[in-house]
Order: sequence, then structure tokens, then C-alpha cells
Amino acid sequence: MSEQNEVVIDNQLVRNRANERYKEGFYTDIESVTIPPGLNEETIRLISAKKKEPEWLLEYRLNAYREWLKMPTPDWAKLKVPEIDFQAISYYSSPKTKAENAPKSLDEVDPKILETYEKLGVPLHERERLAGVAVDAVFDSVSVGTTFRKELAEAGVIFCSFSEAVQDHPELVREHLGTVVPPRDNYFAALNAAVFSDGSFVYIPKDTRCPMELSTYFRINANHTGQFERTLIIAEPGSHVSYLEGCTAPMRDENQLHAAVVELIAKDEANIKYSTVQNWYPGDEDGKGGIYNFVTKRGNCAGKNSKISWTQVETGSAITWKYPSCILRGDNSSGEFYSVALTNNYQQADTGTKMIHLGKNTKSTIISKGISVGKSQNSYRGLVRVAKRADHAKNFTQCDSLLIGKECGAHTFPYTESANMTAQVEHEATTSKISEDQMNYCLQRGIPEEEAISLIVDGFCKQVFKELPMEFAVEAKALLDVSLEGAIG
Amino acid sequence: MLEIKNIHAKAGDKDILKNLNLTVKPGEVHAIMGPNGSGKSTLGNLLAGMPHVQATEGSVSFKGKDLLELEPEERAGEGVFLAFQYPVEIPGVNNMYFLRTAYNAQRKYRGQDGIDSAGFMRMVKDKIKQLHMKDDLLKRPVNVGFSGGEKKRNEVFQMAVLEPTLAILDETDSGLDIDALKIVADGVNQLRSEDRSFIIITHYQRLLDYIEPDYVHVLADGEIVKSGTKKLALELEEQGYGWLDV
Amino acid sequence: MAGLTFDWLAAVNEQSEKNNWPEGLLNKQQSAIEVLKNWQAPNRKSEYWRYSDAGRLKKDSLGHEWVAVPEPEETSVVISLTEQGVQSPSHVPDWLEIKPVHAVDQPDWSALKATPELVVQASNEALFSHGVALSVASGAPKNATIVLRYAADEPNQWTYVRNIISLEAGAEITVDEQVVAGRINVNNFYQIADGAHLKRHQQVVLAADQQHVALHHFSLHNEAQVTSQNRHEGGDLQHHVHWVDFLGEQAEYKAGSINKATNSTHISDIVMVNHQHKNNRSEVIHRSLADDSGQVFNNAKAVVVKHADGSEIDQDLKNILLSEDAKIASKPEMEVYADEVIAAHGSTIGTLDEEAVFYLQSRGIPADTARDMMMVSFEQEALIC
Repeated sequence: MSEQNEVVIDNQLVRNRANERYKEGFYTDIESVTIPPGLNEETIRLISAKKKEPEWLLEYRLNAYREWLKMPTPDWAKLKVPEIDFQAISYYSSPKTKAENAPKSLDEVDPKILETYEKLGVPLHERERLAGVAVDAVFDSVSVGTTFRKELAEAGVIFCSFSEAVQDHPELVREHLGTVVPPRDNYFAALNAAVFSDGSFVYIPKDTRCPMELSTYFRINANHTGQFERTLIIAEPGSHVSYLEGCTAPMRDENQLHAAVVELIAKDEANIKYSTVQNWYPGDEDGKGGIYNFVTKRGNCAGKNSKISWTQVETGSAITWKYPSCILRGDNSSGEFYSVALTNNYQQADTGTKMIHLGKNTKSTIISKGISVGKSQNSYRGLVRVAKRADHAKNFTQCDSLLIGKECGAHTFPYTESANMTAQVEHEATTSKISEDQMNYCLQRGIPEEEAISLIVDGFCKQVFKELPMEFAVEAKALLDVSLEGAIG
Repeated sequence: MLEIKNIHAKAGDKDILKNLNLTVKPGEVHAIMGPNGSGKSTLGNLLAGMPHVQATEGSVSFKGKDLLELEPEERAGEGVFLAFQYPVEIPGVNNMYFLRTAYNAQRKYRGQDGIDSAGFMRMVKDKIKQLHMKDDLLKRPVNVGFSGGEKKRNEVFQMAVLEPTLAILDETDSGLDIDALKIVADGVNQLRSEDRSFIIITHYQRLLDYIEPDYVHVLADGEIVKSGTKKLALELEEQGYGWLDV
Repeated sequence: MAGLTFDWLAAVNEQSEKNNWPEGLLNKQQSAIEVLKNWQAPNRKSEYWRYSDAGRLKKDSLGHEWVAVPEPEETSVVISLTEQGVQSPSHVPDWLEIKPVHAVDQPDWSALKATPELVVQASNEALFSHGVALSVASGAPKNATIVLRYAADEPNQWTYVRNIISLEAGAEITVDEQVVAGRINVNNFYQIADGAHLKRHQQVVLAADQQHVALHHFSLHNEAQVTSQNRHEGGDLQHHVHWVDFLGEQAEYKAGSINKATNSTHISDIVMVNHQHKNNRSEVIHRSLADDSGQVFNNAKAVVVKHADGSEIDQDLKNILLSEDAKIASKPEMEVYADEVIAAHGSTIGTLDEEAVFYLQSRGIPADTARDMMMVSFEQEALIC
């Protein structure tokens, strides 16, 4: 991508960052309003009422809930998912200050929350490290603040919490919500549509290049709660936006559920770049605790010449179930998926993408790197489908797996389907461990084993890292180093 | 033998050749030089019948026939040979088998009988020796795993086997070291004869040190802007193509 | 639920000859029927039937037309399998033992644990009426060939055939499986003892409205070797499963498949290789072409269990679409639980390289010949012996 990503990453910075194992695992003691656990139509009415939602949205939620009740839990992924007790989860939790009266400016945000984000390395002051990045901070079920609103508003860009968007831009939300991921799309999408609490909303007007990176930082703090955020990004014709998301949670023995839905819509000539560094608490060395991450992310390249690019670095969560996908509907549209998924200890990841080629001359690129360490299981699952009318569609997929240790697993399940003779679909994959030659070479040059592994893994992931915005590339590399801990042995 | 009159041609959607005229008589060697993007390769591709190159105006007659009306294989049968700038790799198709099929298809086109595999093998081995090439290339699939230089040499070798009457060499010299260049030039010189013509497309004058052209043409922006003898090539070498603009 | 299976049950031939079967075997068949009752009929929800129309299995009035299969060479041992039963050669060489499949003391035909995915193949377990148990002695001459010729006259009824082919330690032999005629559901169990080498050809070239369903299960012991060459062409429906279990070490399974779907053929070519032990090698090459409104599904899967170090896996699936209405799905899969592995796979779907066609044309080869050459050479990449 841009040249800045070729900048050499400062290793000292990475090491500092990597020094502590899951340093995001602290808990912020803050007074919060949490509704009692349990899920029924009343819960949904309560959430909707708390958010003062219009009637149509409540109906949307209730319909989704009724669909969800009828759906079986998906079992096709290569995951061992313990039964989730949906009645034991609280579906709404918010810091008290926010619940009573939403702060309109960052100065009104509870200092403890500001401190939390400070500690996470995401200062919400507009002058600090992330000076060029606008942040929407989602704390449990609510957005606690969004930075740089004024600057963005000048450009005509709307970047706010989903709840605010429902109040302030109901027509935009109503027109697009559920158009890419319909409520009945899958089990977890239906659940999300019923109980989603907050998330980010982005609208980029026609022919506008968003003046800065947008990002959302998701934080689960309260216990016994799930996070069900909903993100919607609409890019009008000719617009450009780059969006980043980060996620963390306290270390707990319990498993917490995170079931998000992200919908992207790119109209003619629009370009959306969506990057994720997912660092939910992965559980401890014995597999205790950790987040269950069941996420549906999908982009609709609705317009001609539109482009959606997903980049993800997945190191967290006890279980990851996630397939950021592109529907390439517009002629000449293109979709990209760059992924690094690293699992350690007892983590399980089943992740990949779907590229659905509907338009002519559509193009997709998939680069997936899976690293399995410890006793973890890591699967790539992908679908490339070329519809009959998608003349001259082109796909390239490369998907490599690295095994570190004797107890882990690396799996590849790529589906490729083509119904158009002018299309080209190409898939390549390898599975291997770090070669002894590479290792010996490093050792001989005086690089200690642990560093050598980190070096080699880093090289293995380079193709993906270079797609990340600079701020995130550092983060991602540091995360890998932390997550690789204990890889020797 | 070849008469190109007032040719305008598109490659894909782009207009490349504009009002190009060229006459080549039997036995002549014409060098076509010019900067990148001037349309040199398009000319070669047009003559060979590459599908994405289409003439929009003008005519090409070859031995009295309308060349543009013929299928690519019919042009080959008539004796047109293009040594490609980027020869394509064809996995699984053995070079020897490929050549014999081509050889016999051309003979059939001319109403001649095919040659049996033993006879063909003898002929091919002779040629390969004459060209100072290694015969292991016969067993390999067409161009697969060949280095850039090997691909170019393979093109010249095919030319020697198929004995065309008009051979077009499209930047056959690019990417070759001096030894390989000599082998290629030597191959061409061996084939030079009274009834065989050559069009040598090149960016550099270097190849012309080894293959002496009768005429040199400078192609710029789709038309021949200057024609001359070998001296012109030397001038170009010294002054580059920049002076063409003024 | 198991409607289709019941249709088959009803369609089974009168099996009077089963009267003299050992009771244990009849009981096994009965319990297999019980299992089938709880399974769904094959449908698109099943991985193995996702890309071909299982409904065709129920089709009636298939034609009588067959593609001619050349007569086997005189030197080979020919065993004919028809809807009537087995025809063994009058002279059986001393290195070969032929028994009816039901006469095998401890029939190994349940060695493969069938799953609902394999419901169509599993129905064979409940319904098979005949077949042979072959045992090839170590001293068999290396150039010896056994031909299994499947020919049933009745095109509308399914005939269920089950064979066991055992190669003793060190035996080396060619087995040629030719499908000549009939709607046959065949399950074959190949047991290849230490150091034995099975060279196998499978030819299923069918006329437009014919069907064939097959399961071939290979058990390879130490240093055993299988080279398996398959050609599947035409017909209405072809469903092939090759299931490979490595029971020892240093063994190799190498298979090449050529699949050609024309008219409205549906071909599924599924290979499952279980690397349950160390240091085994598997290589699967598929070259498939789909023309007209034909459909091909390629699936090569390898599972490497924990500690099966030194496993080597190569899956190479290439596919060519030749018409606007053809469809291809291709799925190379790996499930790897050991780290000392060399595993790679590739899969492509495209059409003939038009640039290459032009190159051939420019050398004087007519376009049609050029395309044929390209197709032949494409197929040849899957020729392994």
C-alpha cells in the first residue's frame, strides 16, 4: 500500500510494548449500570428504551430475535465451542455517568474511563500519540466519546456512535442497516441484530477523502456481560476512508461473548480500508477464560470500480469465528483480505473470508497467514465463488500455515467455485514448521532462539503487516511477540 | 513480398499504429528501431495475427495475399514467423512434439506430405547442432522453466526448423548477454538467403553489429519517421531518440 | 428421512443367493440397514453432494447405450461382475486365490467407518449381493494384470458389488477396473501388505445417461505403494470416493485423476488421505475439464494426526472450464496436527490459456488442433504411470 508502511518498525518500541503479557488485562473499577442477565423480548425492549430508539428499530430487533430463536447454533466450523448460556449474560452495561446523561464533550467523560484508554495506549486527547486519528471509544455497551468530531464535520464526514446515528441520522441508518448482513444471515448475526448496544457509524459523503484515519477502540470491562456492537460504514460515490479497530478486555476466568456485526457499503468508485487488531483476552495458559469472538463482517462493493480491503491481525480471543467478506457486485470492483491469525495455548481460531464475484472484471486477493503455537487450533476457511455472469473475474489466494510445537493444529478449508469460463481462480497453500535451516542460520549469527522465532514469524507475516496503517503495524508486531511467548519448549 | 500500406491499428482500445508504410522485398533485412511505446511490438503482433491487435485502416499484402484476412496459423503456413518478445510457457506440451505438429501442419497447409518422427528427429538434431544449442531443450515442455535467454534461443531454433520466408524478430536481443546474442545473431545469419526476408525489431543498435540490415527504419508514435541504411542505426545509438522530436 | 435409501432398499434385486450366507454376515447387513434408516438421503447440505445432484440417483429409464471398452488382453486374469453374480476365469493362476466375498471368514468390509457423508457408499454395506475376495501371493509375476470388469445389463436397477483385494507382502501387480455397463454401486477394499505395490487403473467412461458410484478404500502397510490412475469421463452422474489409510510407515499413495464432464455430466472426485502414522507420502493430482453444462467437483483432503511426523502431502487440482454453462468446484483441504510435515496444495480454475493457443497458431497449428493439444497436455499432467 502506501510507502509509509515500508518504514522500518522501531524494534525498541515493539519490545517495550511486548514486555508485559496481556497488559490490557486490568479492570477499571467504575460505577456502572448493568441490566440483569437474561434474554427475552423484555430485555430487547429495555435496551431499545434505554436508547430511546424509534419504533422501527425496536421492530427490527424483535424480528431478529424471533428468527434467532428458530436458528440452530452453527456447528460447521472446526471449533469446540462449549455451550453458551445466553440467559447468564447481561446484554447491557454502561458506565453510570454515561447512562444518566450522555456527555457531549470529551471533558465530561468520567476521568476513570479516560485513564483506562490512556493505559491502553489510546489517549482520547486529540493532541497525543494518535493525533492524526479520530477515535470512537466503546466501553462495554456504549460509546463514551468520539474525538475530532469538529474537524470531521467540516469535511462532511459523520463519525459517531451508532446510538447517536440512530438519533441524528435515522434515515441513513434505516436505509442501510441490515442490507449487507441481514438479521437472519446467521445465528450470531441474528443475535446481534436483536441485542446490539453500540458501535460506530461512519458516513463519507460523495467525492470526499476522509481527512484522517478513523478508529474505534472496543473495551469490555464489566463482567458477565457480552458485547454486541454494530458498525456501519457508508462510502458514497468517489469517497475514501480508512478505518481501524482495536479490542481488549480484562483477564477473567469466565468466558465472555462478543458477537459483533460490521457492514460496509462502497458505492461507485468508493474505497474502504478496514483494519483490525483483535486482542481480546485469549484466556490463560490452561485455557481458562477468554473472549468468544463470533463476528460477522461483510462489505458490499455495490458500485462500479469500488474497493473494500480487510486487514486483520487476530491474536486474542479464546475462540475466533470470523470471515470478513466481500460481495463484489459492481463491475470492476475489487476485494482484498489480508490476515494474520496467531493462536497459542488453548486458543481456537476458524477464520477466513468469502469473495463473491457477481460483477464483471471483479478482482479479489486473499493472503492469509496462520500461526499455531502451544495446544491451539488454527483454521483458514475460505470461499471464492464466481457467478455465471462475472466475466473475467480474477482471484488469487495464498494461504500459509506455520506450526510451532507438537500439540497444535493448522487446517485449510478453501472452497473455490467457478461458473464462468473467462474467470481465473487460483489458490495456493503450504503448511510447514519453521525450517531448521532458517533457525540454524539465525542461531549461527548469534540471534537467540526466541528472537529468531519472532523474526521468522515476522517475516512470514510481512505481506499482511505492510497493509496495516503505520500506528497499527507497530501494535501488531508487538502483539505477535507477546502472543508467541512460550513458543519454545 | 510484404507490402504494408497506410496501416492504422489498435492494440486493445489504444490506437498505436498510425499510417505506417513498409515494403520488404525477398532477401532483405529491415531493422525497425524506436523508443518504447512507439508501436514496434504492435507491428510484429499485427503481422502475426495476435487477436487483440486490430487494423482499422490500410492493408497488408504478403506474396500477393491479403495477410490480414488470414488466420494466424494460415499466416504461418504462408511463411510468416514471429519470434516473440515474451514467448509464452505451455506446460505439458513437449517441445519436440510441438515442433513436429507445427512443422507438419505447415506442410499440410502447403499441400506437402508430413514427415515421420524419425526423419524429423534427424533434421531437428542437425539444426540444433548448427545453432550450437543443447538438445535437452527438445525434451522439455515449451518454454517452461526456461530462462529469458533460453526462451529467445528457443525462438530462433524454432525459426531454423520451420524455415519461414518472412521472419519477424521482436526484441529478440533484449535481456541477452553477449554470448547468447552471438548465438542468436549467428542463427539468423545462417538463415539469410535470397528468398528469405527479416524484420528485426530492436531498441538497441547492438544486435545490428552482428546482423547487418539493408534498411533501418525509425518508428515513432505509430509511424515510420525516418528510413535509412545502417548508418542511421549508428546515429541513433549516439544521439538517442530525443532528436527525433525536434 | 432416509427416503432415498429406502428407494434403494426397494430397488434391490431379489437376493436369493444370500440364503447360503453365514448368519453373522446377514446380521451385519441387517444392522447396516438399521443405521441407514437414521441417516438423511444425500443432498446439497452434505459436503460430498454439495456440487452434484443426488436426486439423479433416483432417475429412471436410463438408456442401454454404452461406450465400448476394449477387450482385455488375453494374458490378464479377467473377473466379470454382472447383476447376476461373479464370473471367474476357468483357469486361476497359482499366485491368485479367488473366493466369493461372503465366504471370507472375517470380512473386513466394515474396516472403514462410514459416516452420513458416505451414505450412498454405505448403502452398499447393507445391500451388496456379491463380489470377490482376491488374494495375490508374494510371488505373483510383476507384469500380471487382474481385470475387474463391471457389466450389468439392466440399466435402471442398481447392482451392489463389493470386493476385497489383498496383496501379500512384496506382491506387485496391476489391477485394471473397467466399467463396461450397468448402474453399479461398488465398494472395493484394497489391503496392501508390507512392501507390496498396487498399480491400479480405473476407467469409467460412460455414455450420456449412465451412472456410477464407487468407494475405493486402501489400507497401506509399511513401505506399501499404490499408484492409482483414474479416468472418469461422461455419463449422467459419477461419484467417486478414494479413501486412504496409512497403517504403517514409509508407504506412498500416488493418484492421478482425469475428469471430463460433457453434456450434463456431474462428476465428483473425492480423495481422503489419513496420515495416521509417521513418514508416509501422498500425492494427489487432478486434472478436470467441464464442457457443455457439465459439472465437476474435486476434493482432496489430507489429515495428519498428532505425531505423524515426516508426512508429506501434495495436492494439485487444476480445472478448465470449456463452456459458458459448465461449472467447477475445487477444494483442496488439509487438517494438520503434526509439525514435521511438508504439505502444499494448489488449485486453479480457469479456461485454456488463449495466449498459448495463439502461440501454437502462430507456428502454423490450426486453432482447434492447438486447443486439443493444450487439453491433451493438460490431461497428461495427471498421468502418473
